[in-house]
Amino acid sequence: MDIARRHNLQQSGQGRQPMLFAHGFGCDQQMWRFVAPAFEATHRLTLFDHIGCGRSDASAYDDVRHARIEGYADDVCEIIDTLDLHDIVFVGHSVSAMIGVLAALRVPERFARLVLIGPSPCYLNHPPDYHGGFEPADIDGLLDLMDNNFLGWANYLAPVVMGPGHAPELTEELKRSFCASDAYITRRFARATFLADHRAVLPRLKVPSLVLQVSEDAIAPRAVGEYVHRHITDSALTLIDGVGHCPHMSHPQQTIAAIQAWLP
Amino acid sequence: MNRLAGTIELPCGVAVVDEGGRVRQANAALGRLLGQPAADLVSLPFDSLLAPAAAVLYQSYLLPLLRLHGEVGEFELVLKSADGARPSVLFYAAVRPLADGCDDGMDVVVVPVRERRRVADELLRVKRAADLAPGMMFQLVRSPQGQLRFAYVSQAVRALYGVSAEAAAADAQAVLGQLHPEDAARLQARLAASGAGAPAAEWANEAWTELLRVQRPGAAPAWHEMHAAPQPGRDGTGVWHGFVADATLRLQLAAERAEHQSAEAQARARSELLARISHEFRTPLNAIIGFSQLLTRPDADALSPRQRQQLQTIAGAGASLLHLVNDVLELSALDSTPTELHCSAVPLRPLLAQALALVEPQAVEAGVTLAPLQCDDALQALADAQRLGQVLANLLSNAVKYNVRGGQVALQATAHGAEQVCITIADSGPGFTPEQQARLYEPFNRLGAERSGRPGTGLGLVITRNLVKLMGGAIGLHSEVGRGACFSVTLPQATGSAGLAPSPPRQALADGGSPAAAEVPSGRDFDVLYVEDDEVNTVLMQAILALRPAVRLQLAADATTALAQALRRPPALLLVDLHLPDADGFTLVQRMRTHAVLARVPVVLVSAATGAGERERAEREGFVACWAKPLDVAQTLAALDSLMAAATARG
Repeated sequence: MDIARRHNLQQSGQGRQPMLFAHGFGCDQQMWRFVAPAFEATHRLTLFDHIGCGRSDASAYDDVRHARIEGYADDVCEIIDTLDLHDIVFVGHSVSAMIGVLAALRVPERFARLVLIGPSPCYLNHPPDYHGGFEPADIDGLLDLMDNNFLGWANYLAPVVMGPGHAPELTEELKRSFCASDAYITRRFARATFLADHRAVLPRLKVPSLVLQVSEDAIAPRAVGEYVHRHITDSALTLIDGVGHCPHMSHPQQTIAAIQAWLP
Repeated sequence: MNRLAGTIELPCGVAVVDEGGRVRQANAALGRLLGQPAADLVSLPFDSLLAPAAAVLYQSYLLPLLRLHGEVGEFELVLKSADGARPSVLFYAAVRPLADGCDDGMDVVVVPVRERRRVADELLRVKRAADLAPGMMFQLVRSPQGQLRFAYVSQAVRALYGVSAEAAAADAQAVLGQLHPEDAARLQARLAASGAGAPAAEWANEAWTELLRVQRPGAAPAWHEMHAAPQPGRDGTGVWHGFVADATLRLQLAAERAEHQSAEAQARARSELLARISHEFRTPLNAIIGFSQLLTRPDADALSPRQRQQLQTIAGAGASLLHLVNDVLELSALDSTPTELHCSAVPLRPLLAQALALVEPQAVEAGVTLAPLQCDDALQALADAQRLGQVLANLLSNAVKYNVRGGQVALQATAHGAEQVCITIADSGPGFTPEQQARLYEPFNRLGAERSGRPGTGLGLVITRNLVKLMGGAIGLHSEVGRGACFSVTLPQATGSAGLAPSPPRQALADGGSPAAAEVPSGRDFDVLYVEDDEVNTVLMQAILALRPAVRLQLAADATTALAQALRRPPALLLVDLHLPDADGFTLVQRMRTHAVLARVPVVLVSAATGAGERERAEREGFVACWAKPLDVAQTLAALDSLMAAATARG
């Protein structure tokens, strides 16, 4: 299996230390375009698409392996193996923050640092002690809404893009592929993401980690970011004042600054 | 500046959202949709106006999209109204520079959907039904150029063909390419036929089914059943609606069932054939055994010792053949008809003691010692006493027969827990090799004993095992070459009082007495009418009955003659064969009994078919005995003597 093609691996940068960027649910590696270039001078960057997202090879999707996000962590380990990456700075957004944690627990010797953007070890509420932000009915509602919008009728999830857009440098092909994903896989990825509970593994992580948390995040509430920070032994928490779940897109400068400030 | 000037009266919600994601302006319609004054919305994060599920898609999908492309539209979201309602809306947004600064903001329009919502829900329900049903629904379309593609396939296309719906939509070959070439060609011909020639009105209703072989790389071969109904299009186009179901399991089960049935039928036919052949053997055997016995009787004509020995050889060969015939008949009866068992609590000690006693003469002759029986007095098995006796007789007889001179046979019964009893028959014979043990229960396989000179049929163990199984037990063997063999019969243990003891072996009908059971009657004439159509049997019966001078034998070859003769001269005893040319023996007897003079004549059934069925019927119909062909001369004479004595006693 050609891992590079399977995950649409893209490499850039002049530095020596590898930096691996993992996108979250709903999008693909292009979401790093406001942040990643800032590290090209100091690091060797690798960007990839999860199976079923962007321009990955959807035929590599395995119903059993990818039914849980552990399977996505296996994918990350295979990428690390294939590229022979060591001393990695891993940057993961949303569900990929937890995917990075799982991969770092599997091969801790490969990881130098983890940047966890909007992480959540568990999206469901477990009263009274844990407030993940979602009830089981919300997850059903999410699947319904996804089905209604694209997964149900188009067999391929592609954005409805109108007008010329703000990125003339993108080719038409790239535009078409942006945030496109396989409907069947995306639906199952949503289930794997939002029904997972990995709270118990956090204390086992020994790799130094940075939790990047937006102050008003409807998907990973601030209390969840603080929970992650409390349960990872060697971790720092940086708060970005604002609204949203994707600071690397809505607040790219603050995001870059926070990461650079934390990296040695 | 109010960007919303002029939107106040619009029936859709409009808002301006700043780069930080907060509402800067909102129109009255948005306020109504959210159940609060528009002014109260200002400075709230826009995603706080959305239901949780909608907020996830807004943040993880729509915002990244807007960041890179500037505009999105026609995306369904769900709002979170202050009054608890969850209105569905279509979301449109475009990134615009805000007039009062250099920051980008965005204009948002949300259009309520109500009727369409219901339609969409219904469509979604249908879609999910199609996706979750066990089979693939499809719409197959042929273009004017003749290219086929699946315009719609349900999700099962992944499970059945390992391809995505998208691939099937691009080119039907993604699916059809996985068919066996012959089946693919047949399907193509079918698709071509339903388009060409026939008037559209005719082929519209012509639904068809094709059974297709599928060979996916890396997957087991499968059978798919495709059902489709065509609809005509113009310019050679066509549309087929249908579904594909995986028929592999169903076909496999059907094939297995058919195979099983045919194997059963073959086995039944074989055992019926064996039964008939065996039965046919009995008639000639009747002559061989009967006449050789007659000729070797002490009072027979003088024979040279050599002739006497030759006759004994004939008699011995006849006896072996009869044994074989009986075994085959028993085995085929066990195979073909459910044997009636009378299971009850059987006290083992007396039964085992009796079985040992029966084998004693054989053991003495073979120079084999029978060890003292070991069995607890209270031990009981749930079994058919008669059948268990048969099982023990067979195993004990084998243990003696295949033993060595000076050897030993030990019979033992022990309780196995509270549920089972185990009866073991151990011998000190040569034992069995593993190869022999593997073939122990093969019919007619004597495991080499056929070269030993010991008589046997190779059926005894098969019958024994069948009987044990019928009684709900199991038979086992532990043996090593040179260390003897130990058969074990495990049966359900019976508890409770032995007062419910088995009914004594049913033997209402006499088989014939033991030789010299009664004195040879003499004196008065004793009329016997023998109805038999086979000449050999007739001649033998004549020869046997000639040994009783008082008997006056009349013969009849069919039922009509027999009745006429009996009426003319009522017999003291009627011997009747079962199969007569013009009636069966039972019918003849019923007819005779309608005549007062014949109503009380004792009747003996003389037949080669002496299964339990005939025996029971004869008993029901008041027959006094049942003589099985081939006849044993001594037994027949003894039985006749007791019948004559009874007749004399009656006067």
